[in-house]
Amino acid sequence: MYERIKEMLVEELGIDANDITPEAKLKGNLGISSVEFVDIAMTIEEEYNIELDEDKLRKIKTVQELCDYVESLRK
Amino acid sequence: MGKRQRTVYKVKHFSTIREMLDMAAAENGNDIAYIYRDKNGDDVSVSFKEFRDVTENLGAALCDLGLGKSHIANVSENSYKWICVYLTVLKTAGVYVPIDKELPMQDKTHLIVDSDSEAVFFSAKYEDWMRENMDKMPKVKYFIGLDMDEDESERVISFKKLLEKGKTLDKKEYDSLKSDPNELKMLVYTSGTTGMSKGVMLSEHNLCSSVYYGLQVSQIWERGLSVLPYNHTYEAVCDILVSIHYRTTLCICASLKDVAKDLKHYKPVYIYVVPAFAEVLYSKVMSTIKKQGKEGTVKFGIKLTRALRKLGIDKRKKIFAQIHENFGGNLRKIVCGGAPIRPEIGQFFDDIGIALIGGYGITECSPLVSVNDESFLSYDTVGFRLPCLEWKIDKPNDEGIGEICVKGDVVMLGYYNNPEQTAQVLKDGWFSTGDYGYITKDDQLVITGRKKNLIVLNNGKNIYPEEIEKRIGNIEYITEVVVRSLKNSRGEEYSLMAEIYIEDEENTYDEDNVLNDIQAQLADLPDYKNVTKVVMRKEPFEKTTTRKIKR
Repeated sequence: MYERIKEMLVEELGIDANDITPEAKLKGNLGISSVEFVDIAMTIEEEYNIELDEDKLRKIKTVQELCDYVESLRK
Repeated sequence: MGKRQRTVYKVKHFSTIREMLDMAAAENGNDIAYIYRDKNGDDVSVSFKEFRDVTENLGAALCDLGLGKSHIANVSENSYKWICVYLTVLKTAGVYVPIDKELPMQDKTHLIVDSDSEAVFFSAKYEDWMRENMDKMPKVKYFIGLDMDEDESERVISFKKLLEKGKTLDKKEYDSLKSDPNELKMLVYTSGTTGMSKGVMLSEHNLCSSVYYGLQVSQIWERGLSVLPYNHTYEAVCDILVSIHYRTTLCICASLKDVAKDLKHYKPVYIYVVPAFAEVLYSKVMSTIKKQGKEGTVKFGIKLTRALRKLGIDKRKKIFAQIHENFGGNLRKIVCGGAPIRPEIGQFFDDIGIALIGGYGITECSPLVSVNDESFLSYDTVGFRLPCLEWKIDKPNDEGIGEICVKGDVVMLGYYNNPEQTAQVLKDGWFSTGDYGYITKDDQLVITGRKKNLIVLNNGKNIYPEEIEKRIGNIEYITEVVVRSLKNSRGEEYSLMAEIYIEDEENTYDEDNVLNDIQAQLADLPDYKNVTKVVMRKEPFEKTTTRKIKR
């Protein structure tokens, strides 16, 4: 899951792969804007055929937290 | 080359919001005004007549509570109920105060107090804020829960119950309410340089002029999808009010992330977005084209359709049918405001048969100043001015560039309870926008720069760096700070960085720790005002003769 999310961040948003770690803060470290976050959310929903909850998404800070949330919806 | 002519569309005249809605209910009563999803995810359709009747019922109930001439605020997310409250209050003799739901708690509270609101509509998400801060808003007589089924107390009541009561009440008092067209009707708060918001006062005449004259220069069609926050005049006036007068069915998208799904579901003909979101739509299309290995096919298709268009044959929709399907199949216009459009994006959408239209607006002008139109597409200009306004360039330099000034029916009354700031920008009816540009020989506007120091992110958000610098300056060990924007590979401003000078002989501070401290300092601000990068200076900033930091 982590590797695929990392790939998405690189492909969709052009983030340097070297900057992405599980602990990296999406907005704080990777500089992802709120609209770019929407972009990734849309890609994730389409790929995994899941529905992400906006309130829960707002609380997500790190790459790992995003992976954990997506994983929890796939189970 | 002679002066280019633009299309001026015919629009039915009206003088008040009430008249506008009554006309829609009388002439197109059974046509669908809104479609939205209920709690179960099922579509609910509301006709113009039904919608007008809801505003009558709610309005009668508000009058019964003594709120017919009050300032009434709304703290809730985009929804059909938001629109019901909006139009109901606009039809009273009072004032509508849309509050940005993303603001920190204390800012929301401050604006409710500052706006002299006597009633606040709120949704379930903001119930905690309401309960924790009720006592700080003593002037508010009623908090009206949009999602509450029952009244809780005399002061906290249910929207549902209010509507039910309103159905039983006589509408005479509500229908007799009249506003002076040139008095305050809507109070919209925007960012200020010191962090304190300014209340932009818009009259009913401002709002009606924006709709009437806006439709003369820019066309919409029978179905739109609304996405952007309703508390901004871009959506509230240019989309919601305009769609009523045009008799458009407005489909309500509850969340930005659902736009792609809703485009396919509702199949709108037009949508209003900000450039950052146009980029998302563009990148989704390009990503699909790449995955399908169709880059060559699309390139050839564009060459072909361009050649055919020169012969007066338009086959874009047929040749790019698959791309159009991703947008629902009917999309022909994307209206893009808040920040500049990247010409390459505009050109791509035009090549596949969707007009990406830019314009220029500012809340203080209700908000539309100028807009492009399909009949006259340009990515270098922000289009033609509304016929009700004049514009001029103040103190133009040799290239004709200077501050853009606007005068006319859409210019605000001033800033609420702030005559000093009003006097700084409004002189003899001329409003100084703080944006810089020049006017072409075709009487179109080209924007070349912006308000001193103002950062405009690619999502349309405005940030005064001084506000952020002041906060960062509160960190004890930071000696000097300048906040700037970060630009992406396309040159768009997408985030903030802070350049820091610390007078520290022992060199004990590193960038990561400083960034953490700064982010903690800014933690209560909206996300878009967050600093995501720190650069440390070894020397103090260069200063002007008056000891101000040279940016």
